[in-house]
Amino acid sequence: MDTSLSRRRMWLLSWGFGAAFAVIAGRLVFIQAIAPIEPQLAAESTVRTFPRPAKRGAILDANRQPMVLSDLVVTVRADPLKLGMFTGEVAELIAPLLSVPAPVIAERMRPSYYAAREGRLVTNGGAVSTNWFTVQKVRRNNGITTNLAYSKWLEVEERLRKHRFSEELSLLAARTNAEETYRRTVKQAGWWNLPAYLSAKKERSTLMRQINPRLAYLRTNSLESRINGLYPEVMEVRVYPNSHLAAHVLGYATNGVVTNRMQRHLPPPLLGAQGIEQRFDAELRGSHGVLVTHKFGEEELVPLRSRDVPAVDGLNVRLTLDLNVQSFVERALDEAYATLQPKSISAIVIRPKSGDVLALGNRPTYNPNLGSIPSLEAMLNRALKVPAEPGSTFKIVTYAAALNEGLIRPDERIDCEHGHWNVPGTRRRINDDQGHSMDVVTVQEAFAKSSNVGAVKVGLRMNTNTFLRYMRDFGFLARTGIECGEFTASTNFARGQLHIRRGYGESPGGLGGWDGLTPSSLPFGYGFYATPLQTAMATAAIANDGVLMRPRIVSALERTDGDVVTRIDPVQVRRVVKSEAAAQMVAIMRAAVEEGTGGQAAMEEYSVAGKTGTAKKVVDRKYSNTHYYASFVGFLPAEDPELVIMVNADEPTTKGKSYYGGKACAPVFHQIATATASYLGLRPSLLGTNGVVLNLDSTALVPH
Amino acid sequence: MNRISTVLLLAVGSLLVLSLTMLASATMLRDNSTWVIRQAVACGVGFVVFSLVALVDLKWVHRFTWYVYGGTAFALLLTLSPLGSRRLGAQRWLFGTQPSEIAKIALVLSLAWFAARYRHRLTSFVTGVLGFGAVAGPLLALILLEPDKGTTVLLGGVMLGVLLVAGGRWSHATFLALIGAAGMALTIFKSGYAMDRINAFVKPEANRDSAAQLNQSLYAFSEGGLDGKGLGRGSLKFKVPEQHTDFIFPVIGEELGLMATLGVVAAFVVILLCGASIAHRAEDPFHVFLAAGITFVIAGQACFNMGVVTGLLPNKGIALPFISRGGTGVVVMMALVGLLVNLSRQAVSVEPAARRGKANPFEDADTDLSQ
Repeated sequence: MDTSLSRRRMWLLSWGFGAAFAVIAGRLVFIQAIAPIEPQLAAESTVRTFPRPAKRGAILDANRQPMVLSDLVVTVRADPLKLGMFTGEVAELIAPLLSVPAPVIAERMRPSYYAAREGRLVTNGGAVSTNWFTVQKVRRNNGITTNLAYSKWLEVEERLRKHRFSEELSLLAARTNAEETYRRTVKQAGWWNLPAYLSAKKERSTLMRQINPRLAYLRTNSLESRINGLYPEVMEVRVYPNSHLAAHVLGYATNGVVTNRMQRHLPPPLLGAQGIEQRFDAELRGSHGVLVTHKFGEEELVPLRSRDVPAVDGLNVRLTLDLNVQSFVERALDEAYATLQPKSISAIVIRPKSGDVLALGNRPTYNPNLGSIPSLEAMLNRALKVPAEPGSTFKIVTYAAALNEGLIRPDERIDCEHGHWNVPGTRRRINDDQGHSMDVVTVQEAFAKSSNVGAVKVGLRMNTNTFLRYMRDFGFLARTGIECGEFTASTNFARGQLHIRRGYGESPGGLGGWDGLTPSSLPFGYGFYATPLQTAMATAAIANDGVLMRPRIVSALERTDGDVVTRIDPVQVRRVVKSEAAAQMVAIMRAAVEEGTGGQAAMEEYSVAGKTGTAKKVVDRKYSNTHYYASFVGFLPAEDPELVIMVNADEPTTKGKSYYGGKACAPVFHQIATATASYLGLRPSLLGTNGVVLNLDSTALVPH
Repeated sequence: MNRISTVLLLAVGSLLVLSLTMLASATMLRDNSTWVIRQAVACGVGFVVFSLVALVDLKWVHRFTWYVYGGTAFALLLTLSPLGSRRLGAQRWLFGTQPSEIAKIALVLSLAWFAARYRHRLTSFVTGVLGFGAVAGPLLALILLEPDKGTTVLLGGVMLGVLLVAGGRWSHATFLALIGAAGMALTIFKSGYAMDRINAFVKPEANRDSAAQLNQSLYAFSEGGLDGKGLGRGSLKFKVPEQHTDFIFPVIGEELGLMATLGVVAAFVVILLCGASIAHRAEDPFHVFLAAGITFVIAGQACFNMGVVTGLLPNKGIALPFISRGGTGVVVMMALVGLLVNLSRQAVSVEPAARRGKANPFEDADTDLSQ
């Protein structure tokens, strides 16, 4: 054997391979490092994108009852020009899913046209302009069905994609047939019979060469256009199942505009306006997903190489509101709005221990389901956004501050000057309402009967800075921090001026800022603005043993499956007054209900503490004697307060003197409190622990 | 273990590791890792086969050559019968294996056997052309009928290589090559889809669909650049079918960059040089031709695949040895490497002693190459 020849040739061929590898390496260096390939050369593969719309989160009440829901609905539209001769078949296909008869669908998909302005022909699939080359899409009158559930549309799409149209079907049958003929022939002849085998094979490949290209065409271009001939117009509907219930808290959402044509399968964005919808817009909004698949030639590369980003629905916002309590409030407000005929009326129910807002309502109101932007009057959440001079309810702060400073005692006697008093050193004359002019009475009685002179005298015992500190500590002149969109009048006492900015739709007028009269105005609730919520929270601080809470309206953000993403816990803002001062305050507020102006708020089974307020409004730069701002704030049971309820009515009717807080608002308080207390199952406080009735007046109660 | 085997196995081992890594990356979007697990199992089987083949006495390999040949031919026949299964328009599978892969072993064994036996008469037309044709012809024909033109061309080339190494005439080799080319041309013109691919190579702009695969591949290389997009970050796997078999190399290029692709080329060059050295050192003619055949199969297939995906050769489906997915392929490749290692053990054990001229105490036991 000539091994040297073998070795020589072996190395020769090896060097040949080596050279080939060198060429490949050179080519790699060339492509990867020297001359980049232009991307358009590689653009053959088709990317198909299917957006996956996400739903906006729901808003739930404290018991997870839905207050706002979202639903995706689809308007199925058709482009007859794309569907072409397949209209009938498509109609048959989707009819059972849409539950519309097939002939009706076919009729709606039939091409039609009319002549529009400037001599243009407009079809229901596209607008054909006069020069026949530019075809514009118009969406006109070609909805096949509306308000289809989105899941249903997905079924329609799936069915269309999987459907083999008649021509395709016949081609497939022909292909199967050819395959079977081939197999039969081979079987008959025996596969070892080479000539027969080859001829059968040849025949089959001839047939395949006719069938396959057509099939490929159908599956790509033609099918594509037929699938696109039917397209969805996705809308997200925001449903408020309880209509106007808590409309001001919830707010509403409006449809934005679709700017991106690629987003055709996505609903137009919903934009939260007002209330929770606005404040938690980002959290409620979900993020859309996308399904990207690739097509290579006639091969759909879905199963192997899809990129599937699922849609993430928006978070659910769980409120502290209770639907039932809210409905009690709404009912009470409806009735009061009808009888008192005020410009507006609001009510707030708060749990003093946590600061949870259990219910919040206003009249006038609106129905967020209507989708149109409500009028300003109806839309305004007055309990949070309209500050006004609070009047006598503010005396709670004055008395509590003085009690805390040790400047008064509840049983101390104070001269109320028969209701008329010139403040020493000023031109200011304080007048009491004729209803309760008093002589020398106890502090408790002065409060209970709402003596202005008494309140100013108590207030002036403190120096002004101390008084202002208490005001701020009780949460006035600042935001309460409720997460629902509030407006408070910004006040700047530091510069020696009281600035009141205009509120929504309300003209504050009259107030001239800080002057020598201001210190004597503040103690009985004039000279500054407060929202009902601020007053309610200050009262809740008394009910909560002197600790001010931050009002909480959202308790948690949750996923659709109930997983809590963020829990929002109650927040103690600060201790405002000592525990003993708070207790003394509760006692004199009880007196205000039991012996004073708030008599109509008293309940049979519960001890109620509260304060009325009747503020004169400024009309034509003067305090009017006909326009009043009536309010009542109170809590129950006084021994262990569970509910703080604030009711205020703007300009209630003056008929029968019902403009007084005690007459206008205390009954509303009573109505809400009765329903809520029995719904919550509050322990009746006028019963002793052993079930003995302590209050002899309430004969209706039987020990059990 | 001698130095050549060590280097050879290092190269093969690195390629196998890269193989599983890239397979995991290329199929990462599937919702399970079945393919990776299956390929890993195939690697395990391949390792067992490798160990057996590397340890067995080559005498037995020589003796069993024609059993292997007969078994493979029978398997190829069965593949063409209704027992075989069709996928992607070709009847290549028999019970989940590809007999055309096994045919690579059968062919190199039988050719080496034949060339060693008749090496003195190979210059004659009867032995050199007709005899070689008779040995390789049935296997090539059966593979061509599947159809699997890529493997046919590869094995035809291997046959010519072995013929030349064994001392055949250049004119005979050219003659055989021309016949093969003519036959191949005929089959290609008769079958539509192969023609499409040729056209795609010659006139890419006129055959967009067929050229797309190649264009995507080139674009992927280009996107990868010097250091790649990073493992798993490539987009070729979204775009091209067969990205885990024939088109795994561009995925490597895209995700790991020029350094990795050149590394793969270098690994194959190392395997080529190791194979050539083993052939060089072998004493027995059967061993020389066997080593040459194996080297040509591995290097040829690697050249073929990398030539296709870099646009140097027409698009013909052929796997990249050790790296592409495919159980039979990897087991066969491991068996071939096992044979190479076995050959190197036989060859080197005599060399140091012979070169140094020193007596080796175990010389008598190890140098019995009389078969």
